[in-house]
This record gives sequence, structure tokens and C-alpha cells, in this order.
Amino acid sequence: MKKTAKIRSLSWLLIASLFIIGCEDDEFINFTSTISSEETFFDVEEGKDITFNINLTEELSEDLPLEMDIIRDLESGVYINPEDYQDYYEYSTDSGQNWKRVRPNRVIIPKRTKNLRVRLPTINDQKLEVDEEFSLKISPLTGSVFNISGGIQPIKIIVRDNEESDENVDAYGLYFKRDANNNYNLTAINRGIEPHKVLKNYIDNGVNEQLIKDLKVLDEIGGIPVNYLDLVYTHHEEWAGFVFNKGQAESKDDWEMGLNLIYAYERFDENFQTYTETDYTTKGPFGFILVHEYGHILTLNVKEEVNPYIRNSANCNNLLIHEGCLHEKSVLNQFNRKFYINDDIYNEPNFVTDYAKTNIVEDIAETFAFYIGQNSINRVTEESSGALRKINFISENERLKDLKTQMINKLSSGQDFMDIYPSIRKLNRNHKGEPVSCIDIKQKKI
Amino acid sequence: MKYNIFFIFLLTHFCQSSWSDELLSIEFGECLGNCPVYSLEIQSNGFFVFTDLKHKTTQQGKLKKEKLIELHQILSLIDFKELKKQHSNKLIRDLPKITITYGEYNVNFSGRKSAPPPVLKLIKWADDYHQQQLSAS
Repeated sequence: MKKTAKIRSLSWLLIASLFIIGCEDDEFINFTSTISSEETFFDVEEGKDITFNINLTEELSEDLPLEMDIIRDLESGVYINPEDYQDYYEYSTDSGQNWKRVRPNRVIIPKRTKNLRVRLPTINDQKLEVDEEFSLKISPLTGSVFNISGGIQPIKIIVRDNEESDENVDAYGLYFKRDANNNYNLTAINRGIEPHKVLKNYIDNGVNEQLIKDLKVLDEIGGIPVNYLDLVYTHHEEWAGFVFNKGQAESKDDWEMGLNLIYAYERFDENFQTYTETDYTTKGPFGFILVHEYGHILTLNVKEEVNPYIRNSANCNNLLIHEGCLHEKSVLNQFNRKFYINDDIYNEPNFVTDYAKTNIVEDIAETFAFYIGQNSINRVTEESSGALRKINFISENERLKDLKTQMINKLSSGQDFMDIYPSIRKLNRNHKGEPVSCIDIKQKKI
Repeated sequence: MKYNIFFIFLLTHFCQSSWSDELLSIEFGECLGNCPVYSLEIQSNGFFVFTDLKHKTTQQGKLKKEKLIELHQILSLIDFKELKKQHSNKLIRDLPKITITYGEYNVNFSGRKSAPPPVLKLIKWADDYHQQQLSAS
């Protein structure tokens, strides 16, 4: 009986000891483990969470903080904006049943835990954007305490924009529509667009203010607005711009202009065939392109120049082009009569640029840009080239001649855009090899 | 070698468009800007005439086998009969005009983007070839 009681007492003592030892956390000490995560890539629609697991091979006896860094490549043109994801993280130690929110960029693997689930919610906005990318770098803050081996590869994340582009638009790049207040609003994006930081900036912050001002100036001077802008940034095709009248079929002026922004943000070196980045500038090729394209609008509009309903030569007594039949007194029709359908032969060059040789429509747009871009226009002499005669034609034309002063004074480029074709100046010689004043030889040297 | 021949045999017998006697011609016109301006005429056996329309130079030769196989593959994806003759908006000014002739078929585009995906592959093939010619010269 006594023996049984003794055994019973010893048993209780043993159980009590085990209980005390078992419940004593302070006795568990481990600062060594291996960290890992299986996820390396996510492709999510905006508004959805990015959820991933982080694992330790051994439990730790202290909380392990993890620093979360969002890495954005600001040069890429597809970087995510901070307003497109939440400014907090959430983590769960029970496979996602309960979540704890932390900010700004630190989550904890609590002690005595091996598996952590982490999520970063993205924001479903109502803004048309490109798909955005970033990397999430996760680093254990080990200090001098922990001995953590392994590591977590940066997780690449693509967040897909879920706004729909205007389906009636087949955009080359970013498609902006002008509203009554002269603002250009993004209505469509070509999802196959080559990304670029400049385009990203236009998506986030709108069209460059200077460009909007210049388009407004052109509208004030020419009386015809550019209602749509289609903007790309591409070296692939290297086209500089385009225009066409979307309202042609209804005999109204509803003009779209396409522009390749490389010419506004990069300087082309003809000798080395290389591009160098610059800030936005119209003092160079981009200024020339704007004037050239608006030259098309001035000479192809239905308001004064073209009858779009006459589409065949039987009913057209004047110049007939894709846009329709030119009115008798239209600038282009007169240009045609003076330089294309007579037998006069002039000294070379007959065109201000090679591109002007493409067709009569390009000839007058190039000549117009040269007229605007020159400080002074030399008068025609017997020996003058065809090109100089064409520039003089524009300078004497009732509809176009008065635009020059306004454009020079109001456009941001002024006249500083003529160095787009520096080599063309070498062409301006007569048959004897003497310089012919086709362009303004007083202009600054390149 | 024999695999290549077998592959061409398969392509020419079972694909949508088997390239035999048709002359393939691709021409890229001027644009406002710095677009490549050139033409390429190619026969199914690989003989080609490449013309740099900007610098007015011409080069003749025979395509390398790999390039020819690539081209056969690309052409097999294009059904010229079904292509619209005019893919471009004629009212667009300043984009390069692209003209592709394949035997009796002739299609036009305003800028590369207006081409449907299989044709775009052909255009890209030609552009790559043009780029190689530029790098070599």
C-alpha cells in the first residue's frame, strides 16, 4: 500500500515535471532554418490578390521579419504605379483562414511557425492603362541573430488592365480623342504596343501639354482641329506621322493625326545613324512633322479644298486624288496647274526634299513646311529652281501666305525645325553647280 | 539535308499555299520619316533580286537554305486568295505603302500594322533580311 502511494507520488511528480518542461517556451532555442518559396511568376487581373507561400524548414524561436520590396523598372514603360496596388500586405499562418494586415513593407514569420501565406491586393481602377509589371523582392532581416540559408527568388508579377479600349478604334498606339475643352482623353490602346516610358507617362499623365498647345494653335490658325491623336514610340518602322480625315465619307472635317514620338524625344544623327534621347522638343524634326501634317489638313480639307463626293475623273475637271476632286481654286489644284500639268522646265532641284517627289500631295506638304521654316524666301529669278518656285507659290497663295507669321510666333518650334533634312541643302545647285537659292542660305549651319 | 528536302516536300504538298512557279515580290514605299525603302523579288527556288530603292542599288543571289525554308513555311500560312486586295486606308497620308505580289495576286497595305498576322510574318521576314543586307554591306 505504502509502495503504491510512493509510486503514485513519483508518477505525479514526473508528469508535473514533463508538463513544466513541455510548456516552457524559453527552453526552445533555434535561430537556424532554410527559407524558400515556390512561386516565381504571377499573371493577375487588376483587383485580384497576389498570394504566395513562404516556407521554413525549421521553426524558429523568434519572429523573423521579412522585408518586401517592390522593384519597378522605370525605364521599361510597363512599370506599375503605386496607386495600382494596396499600401499594405496581409499574412496568414493558418493557410489563409485568418489574415493579419501590416504596412508598409514588412511581414513576420511568427516564432514556432514554418509556413506563411502572404498576399498583396491590387486595385481595380477605372483607368485605361497598359498591363503593368514589377518584381517583388523578399529578404529575411536576419541581423546578427538568425542563420537563414536558402532564399527567395524575386517574384515577377504582371497585372493585367481590365478596362476595354474603344472597340471601334484600330489604334496604332495610344489613341486620344479631343473633347470640347480641348483636352485629349485616352480612349483606346493597342495592346500589342511597343512599351516605352514616354508612352507610360502619357497614359498616366496625359498628352504632353506643349503638344496640346501646339495643336490648339494650329486649330486657331487653320480653322480645322485635330480631333484624334494616335501616338506611338517606335524605332521599328520609323514612320514619323500620318493624317487622314475620318469624316471624309460624310463630307466633314474630322481629322486624325498619328505621331511617332521618337522624333520629339530623340535626336537623330544622320552621319552616324544613331538616336540620342532628349527632353520633349519641337525644335527639330517633330516641329517639322507637325507643320507637314497640318499642311496636309490645310490642303486636303473638305471645308474649302476637296469635294469628297466626286470620285471619278469623268465628273472632275480638276485634280482628282483619293480624297476626292479638288475645287478649282483649291491650293493643290493651282499647285497642280502650275507645276505638274505644264511644260515649263526649271533648274534642279524641283522638289524641296526627296520625300516631296513621292506625289503631289506630299510635294505641297513638304513645300509648305519649308515655307514656314525659312527665315526669308528668296524671290524667283529666271534661274531659280523648281523647288524655290514652289515655295514662292505658297508664299503668294491667298489661303496660306498669312499663316506663316502666326505659326512662327505661336508654335513652340518657332522656325527651329529645319534641320530635319540637313543634307537637302547640298542639293540646291543649278546645272552649273552654283548654289541656287531654293532654301534660305542665311540659315544657321548644321 | 534529306530532312530539309523532306520538309519542303511536305510543305509543298500539304500546306495551304504551295509555292512553285509564282514570283513573290514585296515592295516597301516611302514614308515621312526614316522607313526602309526596298523591294525583294524571290522565286520558289530561292533566287532573289533585292533592290534598295533609296540608294538605287540592286543585288542578286540565292537565299540560304534556312531562309528559304522559313519563307516556304510563312507562305504556307497565307491564303492569298482570301486576302482583300486593299488592306490600307487610301486616305492615310505619310505611312509607307507596302505592296505584295504573289503570282496573280496583289495586296496593298498602309504601314505594317494594317497587315493581318500571317502577312505580318512575311513582312517581318523581309525586314529581317533587309536588315541583314544592311549589316553585311
